[in-house]
Amino acid sequence: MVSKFEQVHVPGSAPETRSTIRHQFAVALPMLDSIKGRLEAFIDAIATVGLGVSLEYKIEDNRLSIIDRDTTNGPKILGRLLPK
Amino acid sequence: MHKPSTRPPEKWLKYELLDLYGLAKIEFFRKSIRQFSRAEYASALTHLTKEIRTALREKKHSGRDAFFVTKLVRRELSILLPNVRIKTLEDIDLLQRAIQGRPETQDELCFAERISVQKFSAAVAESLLIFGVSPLRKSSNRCGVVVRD
Repeated sequence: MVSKFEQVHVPGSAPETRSTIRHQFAVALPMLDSIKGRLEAFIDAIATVGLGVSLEYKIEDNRLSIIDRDTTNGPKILGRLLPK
Repeated sequence: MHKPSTRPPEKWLKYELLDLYGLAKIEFFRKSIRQFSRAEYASALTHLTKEIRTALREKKHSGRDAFFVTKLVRRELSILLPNVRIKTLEDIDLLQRAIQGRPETQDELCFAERISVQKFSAAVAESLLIFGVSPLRKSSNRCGVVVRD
């Protein structure tokens, strides 16, 4: 699913270093890979509207949860993808 | 009095979309997020005061920490929502001040999400994964990685 980190974003207020974020992502990657099919279906659907997406996830007690997502045009995505 | 809309707020519809694609369960959000209408804001403060007292008591015994992320949610907006993180009783005052600054007629809800964190857990990470054209704002307060296929 992923072949390249294009950018690592660490906000100024965050205590984490870039290397910590890379390490955390390496831990998360196998878990994200286990839901690869669903992630791809979602990302492809968003792409049909011509947008990118960010997914917010957390890992707690070794469990992955997708907890939010953002696009640059929320109403457009909801209008196109969510049944009325 | 302004009549609140019955349409679910856009923020909630975002969760429904994640559920539709099997990425999250709407039941999880129903359990972890309590919604208060503008008319119920006083009840929200009472509820959170009680919950934080309980969480602080439990923390001493269970080793689990809990706090609340509260968001003032406009129905037509799902980003840039004012939010207050409540970990102590003093933080309730911050929410009260935030609420007092909101117009009475605002068609708005307060989302109070309970976050439970296991103390000493080695792998509590919260991060962003960004695909395609990056919507990542430089000002984003979340750590994240932008990835490519």
